Amino acid sequence: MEYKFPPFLTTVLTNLLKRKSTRPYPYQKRAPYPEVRGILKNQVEKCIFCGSCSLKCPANCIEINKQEGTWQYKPYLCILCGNCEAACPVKCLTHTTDFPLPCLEKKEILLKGTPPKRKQDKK
Amino acid sequence: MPKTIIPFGPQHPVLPEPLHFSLTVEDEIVQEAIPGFGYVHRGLEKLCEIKDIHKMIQVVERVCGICSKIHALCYCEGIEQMMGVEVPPRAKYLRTIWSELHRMHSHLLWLGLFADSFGFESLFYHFWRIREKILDINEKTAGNRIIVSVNILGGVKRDLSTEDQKWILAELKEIENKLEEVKDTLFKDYTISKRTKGKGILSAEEALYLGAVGPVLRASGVAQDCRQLQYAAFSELDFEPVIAQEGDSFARMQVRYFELFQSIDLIRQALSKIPEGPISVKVKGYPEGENVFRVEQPRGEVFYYFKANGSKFLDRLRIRTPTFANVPALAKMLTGIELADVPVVILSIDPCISCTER
Repeated sequence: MEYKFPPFLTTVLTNLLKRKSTRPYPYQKRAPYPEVRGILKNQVEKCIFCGSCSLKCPANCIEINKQEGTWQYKPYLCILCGNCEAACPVKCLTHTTDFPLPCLEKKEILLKGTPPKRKQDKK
Repeated sequence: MPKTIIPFGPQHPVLPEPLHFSLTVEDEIVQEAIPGFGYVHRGLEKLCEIKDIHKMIQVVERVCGICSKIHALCYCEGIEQMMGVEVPPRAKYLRTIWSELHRMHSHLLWLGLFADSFGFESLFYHFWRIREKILDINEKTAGNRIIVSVNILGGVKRDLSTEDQKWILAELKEIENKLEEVKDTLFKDYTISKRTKGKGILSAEEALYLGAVGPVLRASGVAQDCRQLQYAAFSELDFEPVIAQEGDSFARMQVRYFELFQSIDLIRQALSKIPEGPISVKVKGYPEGENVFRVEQPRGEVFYYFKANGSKFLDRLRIRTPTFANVPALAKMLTGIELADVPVVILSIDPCISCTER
């Protein structure tokens, strides 16, 4: 009724002769695609501390203090959705192509910049 | 022979997720199967009260890891229908392309797990190697590999360039060739037909009566596919639901295998017809009223109910996933089979438990 010769055997034998389909990972890495969303980077000198990114973040991983000019990011909460990048009015937020590595402790990134002066302060 | 009750799960080598069955067994033949749920409940529906309608997209994507894009598609189209937002045609096509890519990688994942359930390890890795190509397409075009996060209310976030489209078509050609290679193994291998043919039979009447959906229903000979409801760009694409007549585990495998080719065909059609234009429109205001939206997931029909009150939070969001609809049919299939066939039959409905418990 069925094959006497197992049909997968030819695939198995050709796979034996071919080179490996996996990479020896930590020694040989594939170059990331340029469109990949990796760790979030903030060019804090461009940042105006408007709070759009923290408002749009579904995981609440960004906290902003406008008075002190601080931008705090919790990479272990970030889900790499790209909403903050799209919401940023001055385009200072970018996702790099490096993906977040596993870590033993929760590290937070705290960046300090100079918030723009308000109109009444200028006067 | 006295009856014995054997617990199956929640931890079992073939189950990727915790699902419990109390099997009443007499002479190694299952007499009754009672399902038990509730090991991975996360309360995602309740989150709609504290996350606004835009942030909820990322929450519904996490209902199911494998068909995340299709959950987001259903949610976005449902809300857009309530608000009367007209999505640009290019965005509709892009949504269709990514949702078909998700269907393909879900089916390949399942075919691998199914091969593993009857101990065919090398076929399992072979399917997952093919799946890797689709994950690479997702990574290059959408930014992430599985939870692609491309949907927004009013369109999509990313566009496909002409080079990307050409690259996708070339990759699809290669995937199609690789799938053709395993066709003989799937349909003519002695072990596979011995372990799957005639196991867990569900007739068309039983499938309709018990409310089965998706490939389980189509494998029983009922040509029903939610893509015929013509959401996204499916109204402009030409396809017929894939069906099989036998209603056993082998037929369910057959339906999913041929749906891979159907998805490849749909992606090709969508890429050849994709219009130029914007990929999103700005959505202003908040929804009001009630709505129901259904789309076809890899596992079957997913049902969303929305109740909104005009504020930025939804009043109620109800999600019914395909595995929930297929469990009564599964309990029926399990009665009358041998205990050794239970893992194969449970895997044959493609159970997604965290999806079911949300």
